Amino acid sequence: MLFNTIYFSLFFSCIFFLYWIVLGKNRNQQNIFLLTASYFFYSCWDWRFLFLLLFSTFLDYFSGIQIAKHFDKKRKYWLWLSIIINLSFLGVFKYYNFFISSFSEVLNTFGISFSPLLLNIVLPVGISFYTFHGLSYVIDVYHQKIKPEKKIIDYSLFVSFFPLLVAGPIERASHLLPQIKKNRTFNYTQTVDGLKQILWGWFKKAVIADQCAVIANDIFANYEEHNGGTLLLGAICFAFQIYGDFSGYSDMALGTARMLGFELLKNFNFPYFSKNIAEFWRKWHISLSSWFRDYLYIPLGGSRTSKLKIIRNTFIIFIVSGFWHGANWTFIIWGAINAIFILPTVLKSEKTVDKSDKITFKSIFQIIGTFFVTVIAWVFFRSETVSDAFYYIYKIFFNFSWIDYRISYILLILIPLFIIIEWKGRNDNYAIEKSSQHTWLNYLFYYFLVGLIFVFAGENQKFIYFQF
Amino acid sequence: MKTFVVKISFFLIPIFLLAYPIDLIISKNLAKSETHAQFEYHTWNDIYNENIDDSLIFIGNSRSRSQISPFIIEKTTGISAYNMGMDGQQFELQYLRWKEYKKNNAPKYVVSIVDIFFLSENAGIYNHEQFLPYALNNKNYENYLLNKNTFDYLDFKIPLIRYYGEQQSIITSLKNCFKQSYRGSTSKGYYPSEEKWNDNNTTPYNVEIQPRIKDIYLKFIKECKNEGIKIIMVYPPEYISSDKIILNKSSIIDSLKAIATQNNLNFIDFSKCSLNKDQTKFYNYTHLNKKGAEIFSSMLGDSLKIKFYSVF
Repeated sequence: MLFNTIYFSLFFSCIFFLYWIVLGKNRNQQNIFLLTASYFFYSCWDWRFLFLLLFSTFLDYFSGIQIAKHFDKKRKYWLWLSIIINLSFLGVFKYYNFFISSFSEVLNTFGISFSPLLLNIVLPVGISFYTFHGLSYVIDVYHQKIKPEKKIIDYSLFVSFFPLLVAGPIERASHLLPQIKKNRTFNYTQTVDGLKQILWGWFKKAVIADQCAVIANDIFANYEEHNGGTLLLGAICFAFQIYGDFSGYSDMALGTARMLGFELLKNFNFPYFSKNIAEFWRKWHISLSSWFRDYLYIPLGGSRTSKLKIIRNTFIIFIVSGFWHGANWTFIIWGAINAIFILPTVLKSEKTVDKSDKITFKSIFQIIGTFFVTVIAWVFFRSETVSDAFYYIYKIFFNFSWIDYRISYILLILIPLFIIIEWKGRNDNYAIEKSSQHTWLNYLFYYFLVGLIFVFAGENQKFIYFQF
Repeated sequence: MKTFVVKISFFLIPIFLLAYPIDLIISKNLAKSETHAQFEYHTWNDIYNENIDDSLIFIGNSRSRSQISPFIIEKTTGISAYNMGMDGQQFELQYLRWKEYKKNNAPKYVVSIVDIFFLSENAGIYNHEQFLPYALNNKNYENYLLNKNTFDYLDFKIPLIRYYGEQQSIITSLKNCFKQSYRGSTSKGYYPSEEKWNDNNTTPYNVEIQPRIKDIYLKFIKECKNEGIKIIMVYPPEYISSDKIILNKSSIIDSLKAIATQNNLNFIDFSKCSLNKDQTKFYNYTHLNKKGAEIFSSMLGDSLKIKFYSVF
């Protein structure tokens, strides 16, 4: 059930009214109701993998209790049991075929013939996200940052809360669990705010992302036939596609949760207005990058270590992050490229890093430069193979001429309009958070957005991050 | 909560109230389009405006639509004819068009243009835009267009839903706002192609007859018999390379002939006619170009006249 469909609108409308009107006075009933709705939501994708979600939930719930119960080696035992089992499931479903095929290719290079048995399995939707939910909980309990959750309903809701179940944001137990355990009362401002964020997210996904996807898919599928200018256009369209798609989804998730009285972690903070790659990664998929920072980068020593180790840690984080996105060398190289470009900023001392928000010619140049670097890196993210990506980039630089692709005039109007609205709202939680003082003007703008969504929603593309 | 419900209602009520009139306006103006949805609106409009009072109707896919000139058939046989062929659609959706046509019309004769593909099933719906103006609250559309990864149940029930994201159709509709209403087509459903040979496909494949689609065809035959409508099955010419490309071609033709025999229908087979060897009359291995279509229409008219003089 995609967020940007009428079926989800009907589903959520029923949930919303039952949640507040019928169950509004009883928090426990609300939690049970949300949990049931979340499992139903997940079952609509594929009911078979509901059992995997349940298993992962019970494993981490039980591990958390056992970790807190013991003060000896058993704490570590339960921690590693949870980590190994969770990562094993992730490994089998997501990475088995990649590893076994790569291993086979290495053997073939040495003249050893090996035909591996490949698994023909579907990747369970959201497995990367809910696995990391559970892991962060178990690790936080181990480090005594939080107490283990005794109520199975509350913990299960933390893992399976439907707005964030299939594509994040990756929540922390210390942030979401207290909200689950707290009484929630209907708040008009919060609800309207959530609805506005859903509307904006829908616009980003249905109009910006899906319109750009048509061009990006066409150019990437036939990249050999196009010149460098067109290929650059394709890469830029993909940059807008992935941003509109993922941040749009996140906005809808955050807005949906807000309408139910929950505040989820902000996942995007206008990353394409960043002045360097380090800033970009503070603003792109924030929940994932902060997860890797807290559970991988800092335990490895973070930035408080020798320069060589900083470089090592940076590369590990970004390569693992790339790998998290998919079982393909293209994602690993994408991660490595980001690591290379972030290193100068990471190696600089904190005092010398410019975090000012002043707009100057220099900052505009930096924004455009950073955007260009991310566009080139996205080519690896989008390409099917490493050689495709290299050839694509080669053509951009060494076969550059004017674009030979017909772009619709609609997109030429919508993209600049989108950039202007995002720029205007870059200091807010989402671009249209601040409303006008005139109600009629606000209504007019919302009808305008609804109209744009209705007319210009592109051919419905799957959310990109569902495949992760 | 009360304030929220009131305010959201204020916001949504205009949308709900205007949905149906807007749907009507978009549908009406979209159906005026000369070229959108590959000219299929002409035939649909002729059906709904009851412009088809011809005695002889051709049904089929593009091998009917682009290969049979009703004007040549009329000249040869003396019987008024209309071509209801649907580009890219196999029998299930041809039957949908037939059912819509039968609501207000009834021919005396139906020529069913059959081929290798017509009892197979397409994934999805090709050229789904042709159905948009007429789909709301239409039970036949709902029965035959659902579950094909294109339309949802709500598309047939709630105004405007099916137009969500149909940018080209909406823009076409807006452009036609000040155009005159449709006055009937002059093509009678015939749209030949003037393309030259452009098909170098040599990858062989098999085609499967779907039992479900075959059952629909048998149902159609039975209904026509009950109403006294005479059916003639015709297999059109195909370029000779199709014999090597479509591996099970002869077994499918045999199956089609068996249907004709079992149901006492006449079957005119052009699968081995002389036209099949002349590449200049085709633009790909399954479609005649305009020149080929005119020759074939003349041949078909003669066959219909000679074979069925008593029928006509």
